[in-house]
Parts: sequence; structure tokens; C-alpha cells
Amino acid sequence: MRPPRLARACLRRLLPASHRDLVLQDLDDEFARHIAPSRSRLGARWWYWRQAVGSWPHAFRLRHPRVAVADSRPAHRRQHLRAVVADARFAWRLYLGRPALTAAATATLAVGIAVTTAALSVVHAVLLRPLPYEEPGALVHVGEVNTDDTRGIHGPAGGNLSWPDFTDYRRAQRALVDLVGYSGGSRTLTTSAGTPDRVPMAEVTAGFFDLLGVRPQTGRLFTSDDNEPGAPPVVLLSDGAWRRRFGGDPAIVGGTIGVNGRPATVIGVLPASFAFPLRGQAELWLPIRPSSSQLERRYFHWLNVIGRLRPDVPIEAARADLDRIAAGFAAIDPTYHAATASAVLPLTDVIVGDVRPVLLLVLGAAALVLVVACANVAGLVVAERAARARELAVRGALGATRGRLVTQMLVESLVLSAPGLLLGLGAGAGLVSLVVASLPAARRAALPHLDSVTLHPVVVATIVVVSVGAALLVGLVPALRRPATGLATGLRVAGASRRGAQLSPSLVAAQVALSVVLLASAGVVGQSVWRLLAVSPGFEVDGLFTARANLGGARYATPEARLEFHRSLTTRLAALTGVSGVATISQLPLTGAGNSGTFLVESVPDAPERSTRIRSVSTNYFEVMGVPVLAGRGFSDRDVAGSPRVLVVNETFARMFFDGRPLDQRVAFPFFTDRPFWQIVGVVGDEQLRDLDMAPLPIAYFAYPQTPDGEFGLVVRTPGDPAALTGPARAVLAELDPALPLFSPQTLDEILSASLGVLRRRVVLTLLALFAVAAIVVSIVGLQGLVAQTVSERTREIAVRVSLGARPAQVVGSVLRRGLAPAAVGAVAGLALYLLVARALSGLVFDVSPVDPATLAAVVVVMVGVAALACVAPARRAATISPTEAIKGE
Amino acid sequence: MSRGDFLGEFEQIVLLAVARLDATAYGMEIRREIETRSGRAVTIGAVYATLDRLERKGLVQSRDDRSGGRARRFFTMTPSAADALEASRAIHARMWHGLRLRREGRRS
Repeated sequence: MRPPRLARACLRRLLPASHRDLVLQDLDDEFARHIAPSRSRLGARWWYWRQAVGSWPHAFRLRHPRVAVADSRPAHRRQHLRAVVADARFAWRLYLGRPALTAAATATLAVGIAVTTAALSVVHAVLLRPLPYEEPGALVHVGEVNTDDTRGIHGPAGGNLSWPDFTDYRRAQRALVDLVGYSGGSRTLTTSAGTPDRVPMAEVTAGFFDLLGVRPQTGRLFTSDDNEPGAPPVVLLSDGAWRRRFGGDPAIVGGTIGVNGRPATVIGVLPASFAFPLRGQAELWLPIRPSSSQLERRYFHWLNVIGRLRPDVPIEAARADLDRIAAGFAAIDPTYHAATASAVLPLTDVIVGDVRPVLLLVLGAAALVLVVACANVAGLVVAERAARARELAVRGALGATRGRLVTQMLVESLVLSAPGLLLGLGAGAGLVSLVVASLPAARRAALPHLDSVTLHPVVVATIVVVSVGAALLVGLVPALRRPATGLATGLRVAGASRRGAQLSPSLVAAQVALSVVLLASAGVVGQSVWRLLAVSPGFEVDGLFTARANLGGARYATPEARLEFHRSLTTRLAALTGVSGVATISQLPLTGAGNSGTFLVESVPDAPERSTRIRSVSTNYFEVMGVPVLAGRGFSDRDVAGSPRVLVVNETFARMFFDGRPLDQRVAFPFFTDRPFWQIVGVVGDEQLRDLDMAPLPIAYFAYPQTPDGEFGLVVRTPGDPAALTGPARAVLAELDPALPLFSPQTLDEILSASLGVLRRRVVLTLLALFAVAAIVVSIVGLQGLVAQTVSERTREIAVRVSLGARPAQVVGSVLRRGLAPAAVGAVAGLALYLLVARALSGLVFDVSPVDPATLAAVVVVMVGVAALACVAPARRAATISPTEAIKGE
Repeated sequence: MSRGDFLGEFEQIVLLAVARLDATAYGMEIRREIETRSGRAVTIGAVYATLDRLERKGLVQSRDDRSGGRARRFFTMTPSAADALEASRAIHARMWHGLRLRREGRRS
């Protein structure tokens, strides 16, 4: 990896020649040999930036060593300081006397700084702050992949491990300090206080918390004894659960709560700083006690695994080490582990890998708004300086040095930008909590530090440095130009304002260009959201209420009992007023791929294993959901326990495994004891299990009466408002069994909105649209100011032209040209710039090209149209100029 | 040593790092030594600026080494640096002598 070029170049410029090579070579050496190999790409670059930026003031000291001239300094410095204070006072009074200018600059800067602060706060919290564990950089996530899996079903993080795989890795590996496993789900929690509730939980193997370096805030953590079968049941509480459900009562430690109807002892409370985003919402932490089938079946992949690298062991070595062990699985289990390899990734990548590009994109967009704001303020300052040209020239004539004048202007721009900076920081903090609060709780909990994101000192410092730098730059542009204007021209006001007017059109064009980039991005992402929502998930979304139920406890131990409960629950729900249909499915659509199973085909016994997603549905599921039956039949009431075992598959399954002709084929799944064959009797349309932007997966549907599981999702169809069914549904369940909670009640529409594919784009779209509007408003105000200034400067000239016979239309045309020229140049430059950066949107676009010509054309039309509107008022003013004003001007 | 020529805290730390590293003291090595020993993040610029000042005060000497294709400047302490460090330590010792700080409202 190369050091960040900008940081290096800046430091290079600042360092004196005597130290330039020394410092840079040292820095590059350290970066290449120690920093880059041991940190993430972003972390390493962050390190370099901090070193470089932190060295700036010292580079200045190296240029101007103070030791030799120590004697004469203090007096000088005091004098200098006094002058600066005087400048600041002067500037303060100056800007108080020009409220319009001050308000415009403050508002503009505040907007730019607010959005940048908000974006940077999130980026800092999620991407830059280390995970809250001991040496988080050494933590890795361990998954498994099939090397012959060309479809990449599992993604880069790989799939789960089976218990035998896990124990084999753990025993034979040499690259890691240890490997630990975790799994998740939900449990019914009963407390002495209230009704039972279904809460998210996590189960962990012994040593899980030790590996992370987490210590409890009260009580103790698990020991390996707690994982033994038959050990007394124990539970750890998350800090949130402890405060919310038990009022933060320390006496709960040692007490008993009900977990799935059985008493368990609370042995401790995890610290408030602990968060595990991969099971972000877990309230209960339990020791894993694998079932006998989990212990024995190597093909049963259910365990998530993380590990810690030994010191000085690179991640590649760990990968090679685990691959060596995985290669041995082929001999033990040729059917399902013929081509197994490990997937070892830094834990951070698994947690924030997919949001990283999105967050950086948003930060980039926010920075563009800030640049637009700065350009706008620069325009204001240039105009203001032009108006004060005479004053500055007089001061120069009276003996103020060039350095003195430059200092004064820098102080002035600092004073002008200070209120905007403060306002912007405050508004940024508000904005970030607003954005975070708008995310669904589950998504918030899945990202590190997001729930506690505040104005971090590092963020504030960065923003202050950037803003002060920008203010100095803004002040410097006219300051450097101004003294260059000779004394004579400076004293002639007209000459001076021409120079100012030359700078402004390019500043306005730059603002328009960046606005176009933002607007085009928002347009393309907006198109994507629109097209994504138009994609059918394979069923009718409207009017569906969903919830989940779990039949825990001894009462539902037999299939007959579960079936009986399932029947009475669905019958009673169907009898509610306004309900037109009730069905169940083992995992609701759009909530994830869920359970999968490998299977063998009777007619091709020698074929390699195939894998499909599996669902267990009530026999009327397809009718209630509106999933079409394409061939054969759906389930019927005759498909019950004891009748022939039947299977319905989806279109993708039929195409993938049977060339579209699966009917009457028989397949066997090894997870059923005796491995019976199931006959495929029907093909239904594809139903989306994951996100709308993903390819459909193969699904095999079982009939619930033939596979009566303990947990299922309910779908209730109603022509009315589905959200209104929560109360009645809960009442029905409580009537049947008060110990069973109804959990995750939500409408299918809500599930859809919270799905990552939609949510990610919608959040980005909202932000980009906001940024684009802010940028456009700012640049249009700038444009209008420019045109108005031109009109007032050219009043005499226009009056002369009118008196010589120019028609109003000609006058208006000439003014419009003045305004539209920079807008048009900006729009074209913005398009070019957008084409350069459009690649950054590639992860967000759906079914539309990032350089969609129609969208880009619309963006240009909108931009030029808005620019034309901005010119209307000044143009009308120009049209009313009468010839007499030519004389008044003198 | 004349009046007002106390060694600054960071100057002392840099000098001590130079002393610890003996003949292998160059910028980045010194920076890393300070960072690992003090736990404080230190920029390379700060180290060089301080070394530059110490050299101007005659407390360190530098020698440029261009072997191995890269420029490196190695630093060694002068005898007067040892004196200055000793003097600083003596000042500290005298200032601390017989002193016990009361820390109110703080649990140790």
C-alpha cells in the first residue's frame, strides 16, 4: 500500500529542504514496514494522515527556529498579538454592520459544516473507532466455503461451521490463540413482573468473552462447566436488558428468571460498553449446549465462529493453517466436505464491510456540500473586498505592509466563519442523532458504536481544522490578489471591482458543477429506489400482517400437540373480523435466506450433493400470499402426517436442478431420520426470501402437517389496515395459551422498508437529495448575487444603451447571458466530474446505469432552469432602467 | 547553564530516548521508543523539530548516513546533554523533596 498522496505532498511542501527527505523517508519506511501490515487499509491511512497533519506545526518550527533570536521576540510577539486582536475587533464590528452578508455566510457555512460533521461522526463511530474489545485488530471471523461453489452463495465471510468442523479446527490449528463459537435466536423470557416476552439472545461457547477480553460489570462470566450438558441453567444479561427489564437492580444477579419456561440463574451483567454487532440486539447470553444432532452431524452447519490471531501471525497464515485442516475433512466426509476451505476475514470487515462504501460515499457527498458552501462564502468575500478596495488601498498608501493587510484579511475571514462553524457543529450533532434515530433498531444495533454516536472530540477537532483551513483559504484568495493590485488601480474603485467580478463567475460555476454532481447522484439513486420498489417479491405485499410464534415447553413436545395448536390458532385468527386469510411459514419472506438443506435425487443417486433453502408452510400458504402455482398442484388438506410425503418447489429450484421438469421426482434430505423420499408435486412462482435486489434462491416447501415445527411465522391477509391486527392477534394467542408471547408483530410493508436493499438506498437517497437541495440553494443564491451585482455595476452602461435604442428584450437577454453562462459552464463541468465519480455509486444502483442519459439530461435541465429563475429578478430590474439613470450616476 | 534554560519536558523525553537507543537513534526509531514507553502518540514532525532545537542548543550531535540508499540522520548526546539531564533531574528531586500531595475527592 502506498502512503496517502495528498497528506504526503502537503507535508513535503511544508517541510524545509534540510529535513524534507529525512522526515518523509522515515515516515514512509515506518508506514510500509510496521503500520500498513498490521492495520486495516483505512486505519493505516488514518495513521499516516495523523502523523502528517500533526507534523505541520513542527515543520513550521523547523523552518523558523526560535532559539537564535529568543531575546528580541517577546516584545515583537506581543505587538503582533495586539494587532491581531485589533483586527478581530474591527472585523467583528464590520460584520455586525453588514447583517445580510454575515447571515448569508453563516447560514451557508453552517449547512456545509453540519452535513460534514454528521457524516464524519458516523464514519468515525462506525469505521474508525476500534471495536470495543481487547486488541480488536487481531480478531477474525471464521467461515467455510465450498471451493466448487461458483455461485458464491455464502459471500466472502463464508457459511457457518458444523460442531465437528469447529472442534477439529480448534484442536488442530496453530495460528490462533483460540477459536470460539456463537449462535443466535430468541427465547421466551418470563420474569416475576409481567407477561412473557420473546427476546433476542445469543449462545456462546466457553471462552467467548475471554477471547474478546470482556469482563462483567457485576457477577461472573461463563466457565467451561456451564457448557456441560446437564449443568444448572445460567444466563448473562446485557446492560440494556438489565436496565430496561430489571430497573438496573443489582440484586437480580443470583436470582432466577424464566427462559423458555424453565428457570435459569442470572450469574452476571455484561458491561454497558460491550456490544457485539453480529448479534446486536441480544439481551440474554447463554452457554451453548449443542443437541446430539448438532454434536454429531458434520453436514449440519449452524455455528458462527470467531478467533484471535496469535501475535505476529498474519491473517494469510491463519487462512492457510485452517485450510490445511479443512482439506482433511474430505477423507472423513466425502459427501458433504469434498471441497471445503476456510474463509478467514478480519472481524471488522464482516461487521462493517458492506456499509463502508456507502458511508464513504455519504461523507464524500457531504464534503462536496462543504466545498460549495466555501466557494459561496469566497464569492461573498471577494465581492465585499471589491467594494472595500478603496479603503484597503488607502491603508496601503498610509504604510500598512502587505503582510499586515494579509493578516487583517485572514483574521476577518476567521471572524466571519466562526458563527457558522459553531452553528454547524451544533446542527451536525442534531442531524446525526436524527439520522440514527430514523434507522430501525435492528439495523442500528448491527453497526458498532452507532447507538452512542455523539460529537466525538476527534471529529470536532477535524472539522475545526478543516473549517479554519477553509476560512483561511477563502480569506487568502482575495487577500493575495488584492495587494497585487497596484496602489493606483486600487484607488480607482471601478478598476478594483472588475478584478472581483472576474473571480466570482468561476466560483459560481464551481458551485453549480458540484451541485450537478450531487443532484445527478441523487437522481440515479432515486431511480434505483423507484425501480427496486417496483420489483415484485413474488407475492402480494399489501394488506399483510405478520408475527411469529414459538411453541416452547413440555406442552408442545409432541407433533400432535403442535399441530393441534397450529390448527386452533389459524382457525381463530381467520375468524377475526376483517381477516380474509391466515397462513404460516417457518421463516417469513424478505427476512433472510434461512434454513438450507442438502438433498439427494433418487433418479441420479451418484450426483453430487445439492443444496436448497427449505421452508415449512401451511397448506393454504400459496393462496393467502398470492404465490402462483405454475405446474402440478399446491398443498391440499389431504397432505397430512401419514399420507404420501410431498414437496412443492419454486421455479428457480425446478430450473436449477431439473431443467424445469421436476414433477414426480423424488428427493431425500439427510436431516430426517431414515432419510425418506419426498415426491415433488408442484412448482410455484419464485418468492423473494432475502432482499429485492438479490437473485431468487431455490426453495423446497414442506407441508406443515408433515413437518410440524415449534416456531413459525404467521401471515394474516386483510383488506383493511394490517397494523390494526396486532392487538386482536395477541388476544387470540393469549386466550389459547397465556404463556406464549406473540413476537415481532409488523406488516409485510414494514419488513420490506426495513430490508437492507431498500433501506440502504433510501437512506442514501434521502441524504443525497438533502445535500443536493442544500448545494443548489447555496449556489443559486450565489448566482443571483453575482447577476444582481453585475446589473448594479452596469446600471450606467445599460442606461446608455437604452438611451441609444436598445429594446428591453435585448437588455434582459444580455443580463440572462451573464447569469446563464457560468451556470451552463458549471453544468457541463459538473457532468464531466460526475462521470468521473459515478463509479462510487455502483453498489447502490439497481436496474439503471450510473450514467443514465435520461437522468443526466433531466439534471442539466433542472439546474439550468433553476439558474434561469434566479436571473429573473435582476433581469427585470435591468429592464426597468431608464436613460435618466445614466445621468444620475455621475 | 544560564537562567531560563530549563529543558522542556518533551526535550527531556527525546534526550532520554536518544540515550536509550545509543548509536541507533534516528527519527522514527526515537518516535517509536517514546510512543511505546510513554504510551503517548507522537508525530514524527515533533521529534525532528525538537531534535533540531536540541542540536542548536548543542545538546545532541547528528551524523548523516546514506548507506543502503536512504538518507538517515543518527543522533548522539553531547556531554553537556548529560549535564543538562542530570540538572533537570536534580531540580525535580529538589522540588519534590519532602513534598506529599493531598488529592482531595479522589480515590486512589
